[in-house]
Amino acid sequence: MTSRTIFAACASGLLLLTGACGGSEQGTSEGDVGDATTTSDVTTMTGLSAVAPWARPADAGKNTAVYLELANTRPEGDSLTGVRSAAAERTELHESVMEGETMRMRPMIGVALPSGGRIVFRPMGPHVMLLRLRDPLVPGDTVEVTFDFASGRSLAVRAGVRAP
Amino acid sequence: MRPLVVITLLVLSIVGCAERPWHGIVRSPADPAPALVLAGAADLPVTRIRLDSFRGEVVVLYFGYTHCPDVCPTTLADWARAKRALGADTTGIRWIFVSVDPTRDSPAEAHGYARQFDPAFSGTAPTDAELALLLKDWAIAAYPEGDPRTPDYTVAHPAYTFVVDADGRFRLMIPPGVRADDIADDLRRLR
Repeated sequence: MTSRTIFAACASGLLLLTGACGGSEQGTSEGDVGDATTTSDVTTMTGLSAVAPWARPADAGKNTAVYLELANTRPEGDSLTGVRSAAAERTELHESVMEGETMRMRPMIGVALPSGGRIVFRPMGPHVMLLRLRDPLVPGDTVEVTFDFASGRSLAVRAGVRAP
Repeated sequence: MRPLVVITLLVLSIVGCAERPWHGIVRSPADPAPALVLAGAADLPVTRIRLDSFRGEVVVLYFGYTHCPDVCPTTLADWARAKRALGADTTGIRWIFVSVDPTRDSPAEAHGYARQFDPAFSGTAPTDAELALLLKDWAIAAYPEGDPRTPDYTVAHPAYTFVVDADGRFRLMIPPGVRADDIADDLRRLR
């Protein structure tokens, strides 16, 4: 019981320490590229967070989509200017739109992310499009995409691949 | 009290008589489905499609392309869930993905793509001439956007899943976003 308590205390201390270090790093790494903490569920950096990212499986050479929610909790607004990924030949922001009975896709450029605002990338809507995948994506893989903002900040996000 | 009981029974009987709504858009009148004849790949008979040869089965059709990152895989994943919702017995329903991007998709490639979602699905791709004919016969639009000489063009394509009943009539158009359980419900009624 005692050893368990000590272990718990140490673990909490370690977590707090890690959190504190992460915080100070975030404070100084503003504007750095691809220097964000990444997890499969929530990624936060300098007030930008990515929630529940995931990607669809697809064959090499084909295209696929990454979905997630981006939120800006800073007092200043920002704007998403681009996205990149080493997993594909090209990476773009697209939106699926229905026009009459026809489904089309159009590129998204300069998406505003106001203070307190969010962008939801979801099936049949806005999505990160990975064009010509270098390797196949199969369930269980992860794929990294980095979002670039007008402020110079970047957010690297690791998305798990899963069949919806 | 008695009149209230009578009114309640009357209302219930009217509600009971009203037809349960469909989740897809019902085509009325349900005209015979247009022809759909695709030669497919010579070495892969499953990619050879003659719609009128499937009489007696409900045919679920989608016109998309294998480089489609969002809408086509979402739709085919919904089909797969709808098929699972139908349970073990899914006989009498044929699921066919038709590519409208013959430049990049071969019949075998379209078939392999469809099968990634469920091994019971089949796929094929038309020749340019077959594509022109099917777009005209089905009164649908599909066209490349961006430069079709580059590898990264996208393709505008019909948003709906088309359903042909066992008598060969074009009965339903299922819009994107209809839940898999509801797709299954419509198909169960047509089978």
